[in-house]
Amino acid sequence: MLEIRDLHVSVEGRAILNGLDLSVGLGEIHAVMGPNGSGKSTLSYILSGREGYAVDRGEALYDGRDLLALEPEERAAAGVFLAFQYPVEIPGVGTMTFLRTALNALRRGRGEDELDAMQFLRVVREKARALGIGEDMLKRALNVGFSGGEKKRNEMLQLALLEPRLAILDETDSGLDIDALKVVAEGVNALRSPDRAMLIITHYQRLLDHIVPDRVHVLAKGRILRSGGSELARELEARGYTDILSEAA
Amino acid sequence: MTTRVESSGVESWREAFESIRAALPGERDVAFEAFAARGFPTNRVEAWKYTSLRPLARQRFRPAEPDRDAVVPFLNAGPRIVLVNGFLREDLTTVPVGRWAGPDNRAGVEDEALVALNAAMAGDGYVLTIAEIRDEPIEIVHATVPSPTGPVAQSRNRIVIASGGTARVIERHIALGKGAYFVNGVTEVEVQAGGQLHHTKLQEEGADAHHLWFMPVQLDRDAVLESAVFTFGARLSRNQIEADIFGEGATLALNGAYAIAGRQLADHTSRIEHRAPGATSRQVYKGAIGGQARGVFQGHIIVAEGAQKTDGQQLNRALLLSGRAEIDAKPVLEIYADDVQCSHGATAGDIDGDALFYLRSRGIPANSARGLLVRAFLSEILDETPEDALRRAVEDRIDAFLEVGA
Ligand SMILES: Nc1ncnc2c1ncn2[C@@H]1O[C@H](COP(=O)(O)OP(=O)(O)O)[C@@H](O)[C@H]1O
Ligand SMILES: [Mg+2]
Repeated sequence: MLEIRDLHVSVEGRAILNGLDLSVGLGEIHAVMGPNGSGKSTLSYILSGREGYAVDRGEALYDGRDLLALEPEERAAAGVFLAFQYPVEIPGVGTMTFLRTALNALRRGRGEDELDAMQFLRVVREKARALGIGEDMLKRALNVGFSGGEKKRNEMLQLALLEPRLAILDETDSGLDIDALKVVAEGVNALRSPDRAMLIITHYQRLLDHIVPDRVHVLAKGRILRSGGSELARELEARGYTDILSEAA
Repeated sequence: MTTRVESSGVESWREAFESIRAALPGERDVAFEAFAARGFPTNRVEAWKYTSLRPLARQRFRPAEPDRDAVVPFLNAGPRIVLVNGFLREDLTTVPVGRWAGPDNRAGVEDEALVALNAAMAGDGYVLTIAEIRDEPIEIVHATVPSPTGPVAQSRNRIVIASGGTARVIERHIALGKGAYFVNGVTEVEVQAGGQLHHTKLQEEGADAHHLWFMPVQLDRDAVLESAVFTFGARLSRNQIEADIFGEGATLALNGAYAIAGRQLADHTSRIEHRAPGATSRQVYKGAIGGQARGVFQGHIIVAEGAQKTDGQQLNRALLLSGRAEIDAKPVLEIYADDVQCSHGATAGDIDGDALFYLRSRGIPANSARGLLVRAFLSEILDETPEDALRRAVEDRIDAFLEVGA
């Protein structure tokens, strides 16, 4: 469903991705691992449509469509979802207002009826409970004053609520203690489905103990340097990225 | 016969003044001459550096006349005071009020040409005196009926909170119909020792209106004034507050939220003079500016010698929604005491790109996302407003603004 070919991306004239190839099929979970600064977040942003990135070469096809030509909200409507590494704090926008506006925008796009306040409340409460999110958190302004863990849970709540076809999780595990990590992993596993693909970006292997990927890719120097099965994650954990980087050099 | 060299626009005003002079109570000539000596302020007058009234000075206005029949819409079913074209409508007013009976040379006549003009020509105005604790908000409507003659409505009003009194007051400024007109009004506020006034102004003048409103404030010992202004209407508007804090331990909170577009100009000017120790003043003004509109904020805090332990803070924030939107901000702190805490801050910028992307990435279309962020920006001021009907009215105005301006 996602086909990235020879993707070259630069920021302010500086090349970040240099010929990245990646192919993810429907129903699959792929992990992208790599050292800090290797371009993982850049990849997640370019797929979700953030401004400020120049595509110098290559393409990304989503169900055969040119993904990079779409506006961010069009990508969301088509089923692309990014769980942010650093979720944005928005003072003055209530978390519930935000969730409802987002869900109803997507439902409208899919030709479904919008949920009224009561229906919406029921759905959110149920999904929030599963993620250990309390009512008080939902009453606050979006991500404002949330702890790192609360922000990540809120991303997972949005994932569960918006039910995307392609979910990109950018370092969702960072900043989580082991209990929170398990809750998040359970949430993600519950969303595993033959109709959904996931791209799990992570720096460490520990999340992949709980969410076992179909494929693991190593992103370094702006390209996929190696791909393998889930055992590759463990190998990286044991030996670090140095070997792969020197192999490629 | 004396010959006068009069600045532009003054002659037609002299004509207008003389046409109604005989019917006005009290001594008016001193006030009119004070106006005539200055004329309409231009950019060369420091306090009007960013807001020129030159275009206004060139227009001819006729003194508005009482309108006994106009139908006036209300926000609340509660107690109210109603003025149409600057004249009290006794038939619609349900609160016992006094009437203004002519100038007593108060309220900056000597400094401000427009205030002098108001003192010379105002034909009416309410005097509201509160000595008890009143929970129910009093709605005060200043309505103007536009007409091809270009009416000028000038009322002079006064709110007095006596010691031990507490009141909530909502002043609304509206147009009854379409067309040009000019409002040049004054509301004097006096809060006596220990009194409290919660005041909200909702300015929804017509699109072709000019609105100048002056609010001189006097705060005695431990007096509290919270005043919030919401500015949406008028081609050009200025909300000018001059507060004299002469009582120890008084509290003044001035807030403002505005949303303007097209070629609107909204000026919020304040001058707060701390003359007594231990008083607090807080100001937060936030504006969403679209199109080619321009916001002006001038905040002047003076702390007199001996006004120790003064706490004076002011903040001005503007959201510039188009490349041609503008804000001119001029904060001034003038401090003659050594043990004080005063600060000012100002920010101006576009909508936060990260926030916008976050919302859009969740499927919220760009327009709605911008709307959410503009509403969020202004909500800080609105959230302080306890009256539901007022809040809804402001929200409706913000929605209408987002349709055209953002
Ligand atoms: N907006 C930006 N401006 C300049 N450089 C950037 C910007 N975003 C990312 N970079 C740079 O691009 C590289 C890749 O960053 P990023 O994609 O965040 O890496 P990762 O997520 O793998 O840690 C880093 O060297 C980073 O400094
Ligand atoms: Mg990153």
